[in-house]
Amino acid sequence: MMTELILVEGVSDVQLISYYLQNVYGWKHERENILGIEPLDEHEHIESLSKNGNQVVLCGVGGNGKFAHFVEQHRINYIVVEKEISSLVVVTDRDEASDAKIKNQINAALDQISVESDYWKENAIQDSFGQAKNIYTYLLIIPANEKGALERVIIDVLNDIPEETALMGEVEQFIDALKVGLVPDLNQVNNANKATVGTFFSVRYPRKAMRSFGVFISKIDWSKSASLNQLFLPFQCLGEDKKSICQS
Amino acid sequence: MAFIYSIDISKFRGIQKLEVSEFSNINLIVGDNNSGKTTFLEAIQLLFAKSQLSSIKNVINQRTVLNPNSSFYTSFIKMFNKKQGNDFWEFDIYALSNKGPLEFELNGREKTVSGEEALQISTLSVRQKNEYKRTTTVIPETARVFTGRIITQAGKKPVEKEIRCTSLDKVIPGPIVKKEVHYIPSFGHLRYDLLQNIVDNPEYKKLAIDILRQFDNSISDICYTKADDGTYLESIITKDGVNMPFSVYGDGIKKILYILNKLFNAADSILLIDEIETGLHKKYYDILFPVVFALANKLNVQLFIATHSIEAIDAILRYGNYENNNASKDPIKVITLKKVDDNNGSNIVARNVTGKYVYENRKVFEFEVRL
Repeated sequence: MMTELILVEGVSDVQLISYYLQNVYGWKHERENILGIEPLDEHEHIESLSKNGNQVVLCGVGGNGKFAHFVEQHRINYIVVEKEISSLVVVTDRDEASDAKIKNQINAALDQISVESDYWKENAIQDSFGQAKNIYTYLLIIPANEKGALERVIIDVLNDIPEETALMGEVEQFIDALKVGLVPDLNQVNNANKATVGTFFSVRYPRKAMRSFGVFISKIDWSKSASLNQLFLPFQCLGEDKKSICQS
Repeated sequence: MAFIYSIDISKFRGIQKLEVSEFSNINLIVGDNNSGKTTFLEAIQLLFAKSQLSSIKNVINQRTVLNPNSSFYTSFIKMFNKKQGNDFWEFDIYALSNKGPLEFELNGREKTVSGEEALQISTLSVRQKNEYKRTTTVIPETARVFTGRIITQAGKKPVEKEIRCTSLDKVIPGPIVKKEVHYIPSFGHLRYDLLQNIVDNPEYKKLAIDILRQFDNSISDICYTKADDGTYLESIITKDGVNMPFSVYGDGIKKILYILNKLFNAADSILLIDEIETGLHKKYYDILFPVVFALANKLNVQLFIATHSIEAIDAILRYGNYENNNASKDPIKVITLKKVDDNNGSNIVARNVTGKYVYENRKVFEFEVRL
């Protein structure tokens, strides 16, 4: 049985990845998480999924810049040593930072293991009995090849799904038009992306316009997006033997 | 005071090789069934044993107490790790202590001889040999003989003695000398002998009664009383003046008195407690354990406590007061033993961490300290 730990930034990341794992890779919701990680405040969000006796524990660390804090507060470095964990996946926003800077920030918070971007790294460590064990790590920086955060990924994905492309084009034009005079804050890329995603879903599902992002997640067939399928391809390896399948 | 800092066990019972260091005043030995907890406690006892078979017998007997007819020889041979393929067997236990190095090494060979020959070289006295011949219909055609030596070291020069025993041996003569280490077996309280070190010491007696009252408020005194047949019974006197023998009380009270009685006798030495939870309801842990630890500290007793019970572990960790205590030296070490199988067969490995490490991990995630 494998236990896979995924650390992501916020609740939206948890919701999107959880939905994707369930609908594309067949994972199911699980009440208990085998690692016993519980949220320590209202910003943290933790979900568990299971498939074929394997378990994914998906943790929203509470937002941008909270990774190190979460690792320390939840004693992730001790969990890695003491529990039977197959892998640790970190999903984080690219924003304006370089891959190297993001990787270094993540690795600074980890003790015996480290991550590499877009690569399943095999970490040979010792448990507290002095016994050797391997833990795979993966750093997934989103979006894949441009600046921004989860919202940018969602915009790209919606542009990618034929049924949604036209509406997304209209919304992007609308937000662009507002940047000039009415809402100068939209000139910030992240703000514009958030506004675009929010506006899209509000217009697309007006009766649910006042609801949270999680409500809209289930309305979209994310598997239709080739770009998202490519971005989330590493999740194919969850619950699988990473040495034989995922490192090639 | 006897205090051991580290231990190194080789080829003893299920342990192929095991090193544990940095012991503290309170050492919890935890692990699954058959993970080597009792073996670990036996190894500590052998460190203080003399170079004679009777010392070994004393340790072996603790396992076979509920089966007095079991063969000494069979139990003796089982002390050697099974993986030693040839006919030369050995095990070695080494420790560093405040009195210097301690060592117990036993090695030798086993061979088959005729029953008659075994009887001649057995540890039986002439009278016992004659008795054996008289009461035994047939002397076995063959018997097993172990010939070897025990080497012990307690700080000074090593002492080496030749030993020999046979599968016919029932009695192992020799004094039992064991002052620097004391052992509490899990069911020891059922054998009574609960008051020996308590009744004549007013301070200890008051302490014991105070604790017992938290279990049963009607208890007024503990003492020996003379029965009609002239024997002495260990008894409790109630507030109403009624004399009640211990046999009418439950295991919990006997267990508490047994631990306290042993502890009072263990001043300046090492006390090993096997399965401390046996006979005790968990609701009394927080009453008993702080008293035991405070007394051990006062009497200079180093504790090694084996337990299966997570409630007992948590109660012992509460004594560490880790929410408010940032002292650099942790009074509690938690040693988890685990049986592992690899290409070389099975072995016992240890995780040795501080009480604070266990406490904080248990608070944040489901840290299974026992495995």
